Amino acid sequence: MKRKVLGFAILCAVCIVAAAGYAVMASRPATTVSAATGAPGVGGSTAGPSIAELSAAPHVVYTSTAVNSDFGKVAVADLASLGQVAVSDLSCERVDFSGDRGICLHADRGAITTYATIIFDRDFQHLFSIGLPGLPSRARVSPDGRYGATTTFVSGDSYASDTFSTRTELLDLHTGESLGDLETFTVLRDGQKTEAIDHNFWGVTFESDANLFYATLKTGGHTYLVHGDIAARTVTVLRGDVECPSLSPDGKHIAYKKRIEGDGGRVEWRLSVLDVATLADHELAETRNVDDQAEWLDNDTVLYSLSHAASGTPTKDTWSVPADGSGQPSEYLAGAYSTAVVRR
Amino acid sequence: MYLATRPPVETAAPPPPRRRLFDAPRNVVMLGITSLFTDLSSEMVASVLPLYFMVQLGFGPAQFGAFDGVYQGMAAVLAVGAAVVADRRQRHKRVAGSGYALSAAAKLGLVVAAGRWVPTVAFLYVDRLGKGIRTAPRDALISLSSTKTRLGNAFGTHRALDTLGAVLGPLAGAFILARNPFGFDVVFMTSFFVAVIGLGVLWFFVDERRADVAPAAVDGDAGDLAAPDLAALDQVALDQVAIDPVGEADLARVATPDPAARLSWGSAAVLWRVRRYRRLCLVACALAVFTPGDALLFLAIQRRVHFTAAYFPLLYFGASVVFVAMAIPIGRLSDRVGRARVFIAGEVLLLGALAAVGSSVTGLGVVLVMVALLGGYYACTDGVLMALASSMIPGPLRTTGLAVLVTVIAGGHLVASLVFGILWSRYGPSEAVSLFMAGLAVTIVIGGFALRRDLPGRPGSPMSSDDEPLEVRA
Repeated sequence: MKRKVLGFAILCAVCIVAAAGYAVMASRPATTVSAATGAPGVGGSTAGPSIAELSAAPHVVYTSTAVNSDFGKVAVADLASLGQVAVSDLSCERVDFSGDRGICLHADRGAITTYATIIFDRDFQHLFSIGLPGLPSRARVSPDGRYGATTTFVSGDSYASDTFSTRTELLDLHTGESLGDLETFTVLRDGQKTEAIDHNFWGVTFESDANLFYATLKTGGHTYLVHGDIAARTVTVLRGDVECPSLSPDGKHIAYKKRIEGDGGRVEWRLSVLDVATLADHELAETRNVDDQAEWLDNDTVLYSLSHAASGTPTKDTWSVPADGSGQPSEYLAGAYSTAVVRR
Repeated sequence: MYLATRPPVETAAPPPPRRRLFDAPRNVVMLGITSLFTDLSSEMVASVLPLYFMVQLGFGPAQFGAFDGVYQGMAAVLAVGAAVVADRRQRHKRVAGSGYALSAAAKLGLVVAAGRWVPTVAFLYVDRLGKGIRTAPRDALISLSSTKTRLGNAFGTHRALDTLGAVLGPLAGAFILARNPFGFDVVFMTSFFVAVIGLGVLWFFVDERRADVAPAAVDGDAGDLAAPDLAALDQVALDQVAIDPVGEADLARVATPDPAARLSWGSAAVLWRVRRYRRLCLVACALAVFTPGDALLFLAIQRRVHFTAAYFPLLYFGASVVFVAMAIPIGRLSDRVGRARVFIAGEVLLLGALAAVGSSVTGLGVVLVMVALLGGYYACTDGVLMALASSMIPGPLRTTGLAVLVTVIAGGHLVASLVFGILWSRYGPSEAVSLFMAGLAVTIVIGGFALRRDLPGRPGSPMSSDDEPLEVRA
């Protein structure tokens, strides 16, 4: 018996030392991993232009996902060269900025991870913080900064089905007040009110008149593009098979992800663009799986994020591709996720 | 450390009146500690999986849902096959150990997979296969390590330790990620070493118990796990075996012990002819069909009492803490008043939890009541059912019998979550809960009647009834 106890004690000691050793080694990955990703801001925050300086000119706002001390933090880069970068202390799963307001979906990690929407201004000052009911998915600000929309996954993983549902909420970004859950809006289809109860909404994008917006509605196992009116509290079904719409600056096109069946029956999405006037669509030159709400660099170019292939890190990069279906995708900004273009 | 307070190995019934925390055979406590480490290891990984899949592997919720469905079902794949091997060779420890080892190795595989999704998913499936392999031989070993009159106490002790590990696992996972946000590999590596320690407890401190040398038989506890030699059993006219009630005493009487003999595959069919066991399987499966998964109950109550999904882990935590606290007292209670009675009472608690979800009451109170009832339900049914089944299954077929029971219940649960999901989307959550409550109530009544002959003191209950209180016989 004594021999067994001794043997077990040795085993425990070896395991504890090995586990602790691995944890210590793994807690210092920054230099090696980020060098491999080649992302900007590799060494963490460095002295450079301030956020205020960069915000004065056209710029991009994004969540930095390079594996270093800035991971998860919102960064600002100048639109012209993308070479001048400033990192804020705001950390977001998803971020958007337009006009004079930004939305940040923030995770407070701990034994119980909670999520909140943080509304901030041009100086990155926190104005409001509102609790979120689930995992952050999408955030959007209207072009004038008046309204915002957030989408979260309200998880319910069960044995055999994906019972995940989404919740999409509209916000007044100047008062911090909720304009309601989209599920409370009246759904009009072919001029008729629909009575189905399984409405799920996600991926809001606003028109230049912030009262009007587009979003995805899922009901009865199908997804639809809907056009919404906040004042009237209605959404109208336009057409099927559109997820995460994103309206171009001129309001003429919508970039979205189109659901297809990929290798081995895996669900995948292809980046597509539809004409708002005719609702006709075409696929873009990007053939990889894009699970993102796209952003428009200008009226001819679409931005979106992709996981950093096989690096084994949570890094995502922003890519660009022409909106007319021509050309080839090219990397726009390494290590940038949830990129928002602020033209000003 | 536990070793200092270990109770003496049980020698004779009745047990001494003093009641310690772990007043159970050493082997049972050691199996409990093995499970504590293993569950700590598994739950540490399971709790970070949704985040890992979405943040690191870039899975969408639909893809994660598809993965999770297969993941949950994976445990059932090899369960019965492994159990037959364990019975045939009477090597419970070795088969259970191979399951524990497979799961431990899978954790190391997750580190090696380094975020590539195909090997990651494959290793997670291997982890679940290991769980399926180890569960029944482990439970058989628990039952063979205990006297028949105290099976409820033995399983209660094991489940308390097991669930304690499941409570601590998510805390450990969250702790590691809070210190190192990219530390998924640290979680996996830590999980591997924790699993190895669990394997070490099994290897060093758990002894094999073969059905024919079970301590209960040595105790002279009439009719207990005395070993009918299965080769001889084969020759027994099957209809004779099937005569109800068939106590193990009957089996023992007709069998001539022959340690060299081995269980033949066909003789496993004998099991199904033991009427009491067959009836228990049917009742347990029917009840499972009306048991919606915890996640669905939590979702349903969340719809009414608004709180964020972030607090779901707290609900699991609360129910598990109640389970840990109640498992041993309720296990002991079941040894005194009858395991079938406690098992049915547990299903009534589940009915109460469903009523709490379906009621129109809002507020935090109703959530707490639901969580407490759910914890009590687990304490009354999980280990107690295994104890009840163990008392009906001949020792040499114990592992197979338990594996079949668990697999049948898993099938019932699968049907339940599918049907509940369909009812939910078609009629709404409260209607789904109401329909399940009605089905469960009817099944409880029918099941109670079906199992009433397994209660002590009933006319027609077998003389060798394991549920018979020790005090009555003494």
